[in-house]
Amino acid sequence: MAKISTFDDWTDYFRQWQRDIGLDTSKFEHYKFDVKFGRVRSDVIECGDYAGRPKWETVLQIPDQRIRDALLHLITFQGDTEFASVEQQRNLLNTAPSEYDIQSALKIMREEMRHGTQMSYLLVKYFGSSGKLEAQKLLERRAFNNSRLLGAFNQDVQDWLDFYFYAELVDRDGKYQLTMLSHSGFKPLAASMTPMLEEEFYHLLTGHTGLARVIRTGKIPIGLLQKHLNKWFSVALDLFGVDNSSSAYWFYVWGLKGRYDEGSTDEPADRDRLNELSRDHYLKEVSGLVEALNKLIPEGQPKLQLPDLKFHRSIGEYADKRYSIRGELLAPEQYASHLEEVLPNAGDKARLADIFKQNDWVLAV
Amino acid sequence: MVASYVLVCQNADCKSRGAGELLEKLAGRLKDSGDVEVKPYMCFGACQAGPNLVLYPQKVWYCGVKPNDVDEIAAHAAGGPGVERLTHGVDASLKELIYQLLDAGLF
Repeated sequence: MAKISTFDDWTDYFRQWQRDIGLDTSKFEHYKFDVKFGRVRSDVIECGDYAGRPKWETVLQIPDQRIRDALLHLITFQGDTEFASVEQQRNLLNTAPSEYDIQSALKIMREEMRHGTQMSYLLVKYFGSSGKLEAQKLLERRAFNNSRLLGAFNQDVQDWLDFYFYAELVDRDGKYQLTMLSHSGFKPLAASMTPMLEEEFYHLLTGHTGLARVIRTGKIPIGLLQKHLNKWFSVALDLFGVDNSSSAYWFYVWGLKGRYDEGSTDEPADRDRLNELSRDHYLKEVSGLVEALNKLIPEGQPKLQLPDLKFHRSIGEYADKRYSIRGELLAPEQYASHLEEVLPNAGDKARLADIFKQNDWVLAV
Repeated sequence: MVASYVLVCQNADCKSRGAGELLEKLAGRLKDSGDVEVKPYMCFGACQAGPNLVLYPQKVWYCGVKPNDVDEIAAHAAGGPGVERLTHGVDASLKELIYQLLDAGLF
């Protein structure tokens, strides 16, 4: 039974959630967590079997209960990531390297909470009692209790290096998800995406420029950066879902979620490989960003490299298999020591903590 | 000696809207202008408004740039007048942030 019956009730519960996870609410008291709607790309459904029909403006207009259920699922998952990311980042403010970074992190946390508010508004306004219950549960799962819906959002963001990689790689997955939802046949969802995307771009920028600032000072060894890249890249890949996904198939067929480049490509959709297609776009973008970061690394030092797509995956064909960062299948004992070598371990984090004590580990802005 | 830069975003969204061609064309137009360097930039964080480019140290941000804007932008980079119609559409606080990063030497 939902504790909330109106959006005002939900807002009160949201304020309680902020306190429960230990946020200093005075940092957010002047920010308005507004619900914002922007333009939609098209007034007609852009993909799938309903393409060309008017976009649905209410849930009752949706012709099939399975489509309504899938839509509820999509909005719930998106909302879950927004609140989870704030939980993951909640302890960063006390260790920020500069006032600039404090302000950046606050802006990102405010906007992630606004995005969660936006998704909760859709749930409460359009989905009746089941939507209200889901909106409530968005504030009851916890990243630090491992109860968020997607694995990446239960990972610890322990320090600012984690944060920069998280913003660069995990938030960048968010850009793809939001863009695909901006093609949604459910108009309130599609119209929610434009303001969310504009805010999300800043988050990605913070990640990329944060890493560039770290590399420019040269205080953190490239090997340590590589280990963090290994960790967060594999986590981010999982966010694109499994290969040959039947969920992605139906989201597309029902017009709920388009392709990243829907409307700007003449290629017919390969409906059985939609997640793979999104991941390919992401991989291309991230490869270019890593290449740009490598240009900042002085000659004679190792360059950053993306690990193999099979490495350290938690879902899909390669889940829980023992692939190395080069894509070789390892024996169990080899794999355990390999993970110790290529992922950040306790010793690495202790070493980083010492580096963070110097105030010039990241380029000042 | 390089006195100013034309920084052209080359991240995925800007590139998909023709930023690669812009970079090439601007470099071609300004190749004999010894004190202006045309450089790729990783991302300005305004993907929705791209293609984006920034003239630095003038701190002029052009967005939604098309190939037929290149001559005017090149003229501005070489000391001519600005192209006012291309300066709208990006939040002022984001511009300020990027200028801070450029002032810090991040390019």
